[in-house]
Amino acid sequence: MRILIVEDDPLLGDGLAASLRIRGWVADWVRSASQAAAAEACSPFDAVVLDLGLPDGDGIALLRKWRSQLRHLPVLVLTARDAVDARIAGLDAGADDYLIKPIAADELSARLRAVLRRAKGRPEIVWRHGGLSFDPQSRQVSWKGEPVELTAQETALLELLLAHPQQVLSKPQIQEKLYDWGRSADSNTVEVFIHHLRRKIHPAVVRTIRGLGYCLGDPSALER
Amino acid sequence: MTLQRRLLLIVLVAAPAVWLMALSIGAWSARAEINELFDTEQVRMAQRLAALLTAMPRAPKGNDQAEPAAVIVQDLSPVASAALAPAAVEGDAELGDMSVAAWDAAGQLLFADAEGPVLPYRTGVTGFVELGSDHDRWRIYYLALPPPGGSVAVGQAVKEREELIQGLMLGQAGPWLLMLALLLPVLYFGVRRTMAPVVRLAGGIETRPSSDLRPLPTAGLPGELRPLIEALNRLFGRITESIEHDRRFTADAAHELRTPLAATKAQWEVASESQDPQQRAQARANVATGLDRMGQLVSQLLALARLDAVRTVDFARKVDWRELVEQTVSGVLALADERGVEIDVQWQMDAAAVLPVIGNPELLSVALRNLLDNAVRYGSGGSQIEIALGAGSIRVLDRGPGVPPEMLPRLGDRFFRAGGQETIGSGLGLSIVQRIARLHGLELRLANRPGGGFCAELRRGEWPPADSHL
Repeated sequence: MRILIVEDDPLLGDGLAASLRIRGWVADWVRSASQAAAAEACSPFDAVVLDLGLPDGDGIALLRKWRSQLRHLPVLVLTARDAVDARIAGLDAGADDYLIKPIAADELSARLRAVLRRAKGRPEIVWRHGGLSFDPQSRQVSWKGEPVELTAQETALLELLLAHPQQVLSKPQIQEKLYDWGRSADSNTVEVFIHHLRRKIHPAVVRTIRGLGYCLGDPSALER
Repeated sequence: MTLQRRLLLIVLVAAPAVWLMALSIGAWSARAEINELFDTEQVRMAQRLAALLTAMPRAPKGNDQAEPAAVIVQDLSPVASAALAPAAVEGDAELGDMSVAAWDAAGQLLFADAEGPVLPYRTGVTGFVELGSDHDRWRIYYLALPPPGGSVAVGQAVKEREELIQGLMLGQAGPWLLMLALLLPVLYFGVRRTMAPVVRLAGGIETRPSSDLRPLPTAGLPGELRPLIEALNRLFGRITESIEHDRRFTADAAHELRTPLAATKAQWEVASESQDPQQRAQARANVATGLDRMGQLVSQLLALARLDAVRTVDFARKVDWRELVEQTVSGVLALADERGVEIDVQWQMDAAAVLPVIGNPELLSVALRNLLDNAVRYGSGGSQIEIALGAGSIRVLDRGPGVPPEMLPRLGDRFFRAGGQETIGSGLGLSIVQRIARLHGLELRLANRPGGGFCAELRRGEWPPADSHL
């Protein structure tokens, strides 16, 4: 899942991005409201972690703008403003959650998962697809009850496919979701990861649809 | 006691009291007038009688005295009647209250009034006498006749005069009482109506929640109350400002403390979890930076809090500027060397005459240190920093990029950082300098230099400071 962090403090922004990446998120960090608006417009983020006191404007204003444009994008406000009034104002401006600094990276991670469960309409804690299961919290993948060892990138790709079970994803779409701006992939890596998934789980776990992209294999096909 | 009650009491007691006083003065003066009038009448009547008697031939002595007396009574009766007897129309006359009598030299009654009582005989006296019991007192005028003698008396019942005075007074008091009965309620309601704005105002203030500091309405207020309410409104304004100031400070302090705390925490988590040794090392260095930042922030906040509470600091010490500048400059030398900045101290006059000559050297050193620190950190675009010490001002000048003009007014605000979050700093330094300056009756002026660079100037300000709350 790709997260946009909007935070003007260099130490905090850097730290948040790094600790979210360690937890398997794809994280991008911007330092101003204008950068945030531009980033959100050009990359497919799954959620935003938004600071309120930004050098070029208030995070609340940005949030209101997104909401007035009917963006469903989940937004977690992360701020030092702890007054009840400020919390109410933040939530009423369209925030999905309102968090007070400082926050443990694990909690931020859990909050992001909770917000994404609601946003994607997937209430289940463990995602299942035939004999395949994925626990977003531990990021553990199992095949027919047996744990499968996957790299972080492979797990992220599988998570992406599981998140859109009925959908064909093109290679550029996958690349945008898997890589933040700092780490652009060479064009073959997606094929390499898909090859690894087929080898480690089941040859039919990912279907290639020529000319379109990839999607999860049919659960019945996985039984064979 | 409320003003309204006091006013009512004064008005309701004073009005009847004044009225009573007026009534008694009236009674006293009426009595004097009436006495004068009746006394004059009595004297005049006695004189007329005396004139008549002396003009009449007297009966020779030794004759039967009873008869002539009767004759005289008969003869005189028309005379007496002319003066005393009822006229054709009786009117309201009360004849029983008046009496006359005349005696000859021997004390023989010549005649007496038929209606009134017989007056007692006196001889040789001229003047007024009051006789009789309390209930039936008479005021009698005796007039001694010229030789061969005799006496005339004209008497009047005192009761008659009293009745007249009473009648007069009652005639006056009646309408007065009626007026008073009308006046008192009018006064009562008048006072209540006059005081109504005060009562309304008090009620309005009393029922306010303590957090409501909106100004009180001044429309429709009487002129006496307006200055009071305006003063109150100004006070409300100042309290609101002060509360807002505190609230903003707390919010800012919370933000400024939480952000480095959150940053340090996030970096610490990276340092302890990352698999990448290079990332771990970087995160550890970041943790150290974060801790430094928090340490600096906490000590600046404490310094500011101490300055806010300053009451007992000794400001009456002689300031040795040469020593103070030497110490302060050596304190920032390390940082200056690191940035390649040279510090040039310019004595524009004798060190003993630099302002302020009296003050607290430690605090002044903190102020100068903060200004120098800023110049070294943010003004290092130029290679030289000047400290110019003169009689009127102390200036710290750099040749750095200066500050965008729109940010100049906000520079002294707590936690404001013109450089944004890029620069390490608490945003409190200039607040501290400003506070110390004000405590010394100095003023901090911040401006960009013509030709590039920034100038911070401490100069003589207004004293005592108009606003000691900073």
